[in-house]
Amino acid sequence: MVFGFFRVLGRAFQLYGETIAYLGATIQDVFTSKKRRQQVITTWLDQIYWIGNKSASIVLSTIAFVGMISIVEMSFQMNRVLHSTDFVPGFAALIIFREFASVIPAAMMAGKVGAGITAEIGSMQITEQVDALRLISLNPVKHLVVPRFVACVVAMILLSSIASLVAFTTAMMVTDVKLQISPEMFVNTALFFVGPSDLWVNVFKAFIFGQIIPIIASLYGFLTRGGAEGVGLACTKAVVYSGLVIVILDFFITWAATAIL
Amino acid sequence: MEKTLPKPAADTALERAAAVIARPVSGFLEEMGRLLFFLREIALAGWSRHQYWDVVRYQLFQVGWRSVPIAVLAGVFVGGIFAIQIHDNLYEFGATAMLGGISASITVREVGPLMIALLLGGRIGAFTTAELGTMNVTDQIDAMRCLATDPIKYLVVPRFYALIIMSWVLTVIGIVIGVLGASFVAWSIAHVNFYLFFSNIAALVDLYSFISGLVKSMVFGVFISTVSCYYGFHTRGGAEDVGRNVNRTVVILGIGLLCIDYVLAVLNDALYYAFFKG
Repeated sequence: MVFGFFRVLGRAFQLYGETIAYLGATIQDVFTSKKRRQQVITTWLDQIYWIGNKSASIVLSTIAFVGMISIVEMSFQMNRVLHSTDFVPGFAALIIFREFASVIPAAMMAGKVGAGITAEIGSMQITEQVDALRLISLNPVKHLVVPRFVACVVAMILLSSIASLVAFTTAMMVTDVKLQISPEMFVNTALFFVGPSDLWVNVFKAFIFGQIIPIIASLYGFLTRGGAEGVGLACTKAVVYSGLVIVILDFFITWAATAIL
Repeated sequence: MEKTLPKPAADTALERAAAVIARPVSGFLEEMGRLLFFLREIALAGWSRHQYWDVVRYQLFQVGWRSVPIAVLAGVFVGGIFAIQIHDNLYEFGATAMLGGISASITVREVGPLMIALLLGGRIGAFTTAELGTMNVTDQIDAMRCLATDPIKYLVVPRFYALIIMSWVLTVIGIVIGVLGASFVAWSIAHVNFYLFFSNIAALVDLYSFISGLVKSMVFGVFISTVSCYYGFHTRGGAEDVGRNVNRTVVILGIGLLCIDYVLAVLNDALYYAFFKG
């Protein structure tokens, strides 16, 4: 089991390296050949449209609730410890911008987009379409993984930026109703706590998580064996492990960010 | 010869707009009603001493025991993340002594149940829909009916029980591990020693918060099992529809869990201030 873990880890790093290498090759193609440029840009835009559009509804509706929950919970805790709720907007905005705006969209994208990528590549794998691609000398990583990789990174950065604003707005609404703090006060208090560095941390996290989701999803897609059942198992594994890796990396990024900033 | 009724014409722009708004709303309400009826069916089948207990035991193993390592690993890091963030907030007020109490209280009331529910939703929810949906499109459920076995009793009720029991167990594990992870972070990063960390947990975490966390995780368990089994059971067509229903399960679980969590948090607050504050 331990060796299996290291084998999968090695495959993951190998796939990541191959993806970056073929991404470079594709970008080179874009700059050199005109025919290939149109092809590549069309594929990328197509994938960005599908991936971003597919996950926008779930990401934005979940993050709206997360913003509201964070106000309710923070006001309860701060009322007990600091005996005042004046700073609740600041605390909630801080935790929204630093954590929730990147982690919750990433978890939802892993469930929706990641499982979709695994199912797609996994069913291509068990019907030997991946081998067929190799047979006509098309590299499966270059033609299947790279477009999804680019699309996931772009969509993740865009969606987490929108998500932070959505959560901020819903938090403002709940604060107005529940704590009688006006939106102006909310923005003033929040801006006192949140700085530009928090926004950059958010974008950085989205950039990292957007890379992890397609890599793990397509890794388990390529590792799929044994019929339709295998595809289901691979999807579950992809969702669970990408969620786990996201949480673990989030811990270390948060740690580094608080140490540096 | 039978005449088909003419469709009610939507002439004015207002009527057309009303139709556009009304369709998703009525569809949503209809889906909610069907889910509640499915829950009633599960409750009717489950309200008896005669169950397939060996299947329940197998599902307990599948759902619970196999999720324990993931729950432990996620618990450590989620507890650590919240400890870092809360420390950042409290540091400016010189209240870092309260770090242990607040991170334990937040883990017990909110983060623990929600984390376990999202984990179970990702691990079990989609898988259950895919499993039952595949059984449905290959007519295995009809075959079960032919053999005079109630498919709800055999397939759904054991998963329902297993998910509720195991979401309790995993929530308790997740809370304990999360608090331990938070204490480790508090010691290593925030320089709050273990004694200070654990000494004011008792002041801020009471039995009420613990029970409210467990009630929350039970509601999440009921929701996850009902939604995933419903969409598995109501799969029509072929493998394509299985995929579509799995997708639907993931979306509804994601949005529904957080929506329910918000409603329960508000209710919890109101109840706490009404009965336990004094």
